[in-house]
Amino acid sequence: MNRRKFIQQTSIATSLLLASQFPYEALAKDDAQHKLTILHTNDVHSRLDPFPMDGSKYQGMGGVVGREKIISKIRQEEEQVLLLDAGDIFQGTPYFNFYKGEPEMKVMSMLAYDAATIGNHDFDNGVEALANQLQHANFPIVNCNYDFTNTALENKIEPYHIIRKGKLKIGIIGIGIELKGLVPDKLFGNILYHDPIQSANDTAYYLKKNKRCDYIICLSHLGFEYKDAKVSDKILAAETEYIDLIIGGHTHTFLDHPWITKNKKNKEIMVNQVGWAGINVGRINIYFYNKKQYDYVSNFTVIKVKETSA
Amino acid sequence: MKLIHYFFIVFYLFVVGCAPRFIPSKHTETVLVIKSSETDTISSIDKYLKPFRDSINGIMNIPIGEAQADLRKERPSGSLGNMVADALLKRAQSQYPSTVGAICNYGGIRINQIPKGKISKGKIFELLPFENELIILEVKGNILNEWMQHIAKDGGWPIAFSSKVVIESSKNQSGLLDSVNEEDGGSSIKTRIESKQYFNEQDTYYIATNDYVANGGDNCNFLKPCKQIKTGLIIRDVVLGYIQTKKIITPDNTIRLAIIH
Repeated sequence: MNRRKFIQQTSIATSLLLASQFPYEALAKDDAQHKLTILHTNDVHSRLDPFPMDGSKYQGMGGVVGREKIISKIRQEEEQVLLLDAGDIFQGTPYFNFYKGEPEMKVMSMLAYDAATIGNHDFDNGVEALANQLQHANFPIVNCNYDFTNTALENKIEPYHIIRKGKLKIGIIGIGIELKGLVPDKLFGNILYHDPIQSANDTAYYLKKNKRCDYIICLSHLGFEYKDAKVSDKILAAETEYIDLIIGGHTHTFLDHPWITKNKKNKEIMVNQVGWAGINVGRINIYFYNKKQYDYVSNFTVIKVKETSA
Repeated sequence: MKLIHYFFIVFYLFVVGCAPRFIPSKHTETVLVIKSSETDTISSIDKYLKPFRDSINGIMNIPIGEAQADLRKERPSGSLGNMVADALLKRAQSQYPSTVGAICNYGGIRINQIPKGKISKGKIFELLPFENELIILEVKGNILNEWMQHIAKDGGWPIAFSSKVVIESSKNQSGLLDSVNEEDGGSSIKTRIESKQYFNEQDTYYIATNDYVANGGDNCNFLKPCKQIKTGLIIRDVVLGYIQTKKIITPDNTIRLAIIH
């Protein structure tokens, strides 16, 4: 009998699997044609160093030195790795007050991020300042629902970016939150906000149908969920057609594992977010059986620095 | 090993039926521990950051005061927000004695706590990273009531008034403040200080806040028409000065805001 079929038939009981010791990853590995490892962060907020050791909740956690360590380890172990960020790179530590974002962008370049999107706080010094800092980024910044025409960011932020990983063609799009009411008018200037659902779907459709992408990732700074009807990743996910994965941010939500729902075509889509400040690095392994069917396994790494008295 | 796999497969086949595409994994968490003694030498990133870090730490590690106990960011009010609001009110009153209260947006407080012990300058940069200016806002009572409703809907913001602020609304089925607003045009919600004194719709109140909120930030569009008295002071500097003057910060855990349905 076909093992793959068994896996499909057995996969209803999320809770059962969650509770079990079933070696699903070993099974998935055996049949997979391609494997893609997606690493992700969000809302790092200039947290280049770990939180100070002062008795606070996150003391000793995070920091780019630890992040580099885990990322390079995974890059040694895995062939196809993507490193992504869902925005709010800036603001939160004196690094940003003093150096205006240059160390954040240079460090992300040194970590070899594959793509990132922008969050509301990335506008905290204004559109021109953000545009100026992009010279220090060697990775693409994506957003498809802001219109940057006649702003300093025009042609500096792409609606999408396509990355080939082995035989897979991965489309990456970015979605930003409504800036009005959140970011002072003078800081975002002439940027126009378009409906994120429509923009995401239009761009994903183009990547799927015209660019023939195998897998589409949306980097979103909408936020995971809200009490009211405000558009969120949960709402976006249910309204999508061709997006496979939403890497979210803004609400600083610590998810233990991706949240899964059905999209408009009744196919499953997942949303993940790993809190903030680079405390955790999210990881999603996708096992492709062919270019349409895949399984995933997720986990995250908590970065901790231990003080040694020596 | 494979026999065991098939045993489980057969077992699950009996239990389950339909076939979604995903096999969610059991949640796993890896803790990567890095010894701080090795962080100085290991990477080019660290070498790149070192001069920035050294320069920042030289300024930021300076202690400016001491917290007698943990200061916490909480809703509807908490000791950390209370301290920030107190600092804004005190400074605003020294410049403009008619100031009756201070309101700070919850999202403007960027860390969850200041732990007991020495407070460094850097901690206040983390608490208030934004270059926001202290503004004294001339607010009509009806606008102040609207502001309070907005604060109640959001779950509470840091405030400092002469005493507790009570945001009242009449009973409603959904228990949601905003649904009452729509039905009754907001007239059923009143805000009062202590037990008696309501904010009079026609009176003018001088409220200390930051320019982000005063300019309509955090969805405070209704504040845009209010006259602003600018101070030229960055709120972070105001709080730094407040702590430096007091030296010892005793957390004020008073619940300053009550939302009554």
